Amino acid sequence: MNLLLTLILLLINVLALKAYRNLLLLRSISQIQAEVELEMHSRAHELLVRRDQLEVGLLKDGAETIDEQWKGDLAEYMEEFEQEALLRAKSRLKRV
Amino acid sequence: MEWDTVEALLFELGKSVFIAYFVLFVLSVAFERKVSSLVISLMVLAVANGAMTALTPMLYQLASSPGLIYKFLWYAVFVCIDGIAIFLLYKFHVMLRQNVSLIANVIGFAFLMLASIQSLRFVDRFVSNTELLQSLYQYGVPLINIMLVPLIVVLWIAKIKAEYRPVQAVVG
Repeated sequence: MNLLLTLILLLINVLALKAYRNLLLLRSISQIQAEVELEMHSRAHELLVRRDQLEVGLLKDGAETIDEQWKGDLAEYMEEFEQEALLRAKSRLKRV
Repeated sequence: MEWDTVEALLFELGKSVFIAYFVLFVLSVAFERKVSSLVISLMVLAVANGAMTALTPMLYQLASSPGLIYKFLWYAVFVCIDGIAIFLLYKFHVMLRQNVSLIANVIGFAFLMLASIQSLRFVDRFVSNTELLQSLYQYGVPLINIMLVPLIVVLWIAKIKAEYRPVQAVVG
């Protein structure tokens, strides 16, 4: 009888521990996502600054090549952003 | 301070801690104005603690009747509510797609500690008959409940400060 009751308590505790570990996992996922968001944000900012410099004519030499390069970087950024979103959706869907 | 005073104070504070949780929850809704990890955590904390507070008199009556099964109920119901609270914490974060904050983590850990203390005390009292954990149970449970209040306030203030920094800190 005693053993049975102890086992029941142990079972509930194990379940609680499992729920807590899920919570921790969710927290680490949240942190990775926040880091990715911050990184993407700073890259977008950098792109905007470069565009501004281009438009006010600070970078006169080879303006066209720089413009091309900027467009290339923008495309790369957009692509990565989409992939990142897909990746996130996948990781979210797995958990729901 | 006399030890008796400490004991009486702990007991009194333990009873009114539910009100503190509830006030914190209402404050979080008023300040955040949207679903966030903080609101979810405080809601779960207030609901779980409210359930325990409501059930305590009934369980106490049951536990004072003879029979091991009634004593078991006293501990098992609390452990169950602790476990359900952790599960709700996890589930609400998933359902409402919220990032898990440090406060949610701390509250989850507190529930885990409460569940283990309850279980260990049952084993200590009725299975191994050692009576080693009596004071841990008597002071540990109300102490964890009370300490959560200042801890949440401090972490909340730290979170607000982090959000007002020019470059957002995203760890919170």
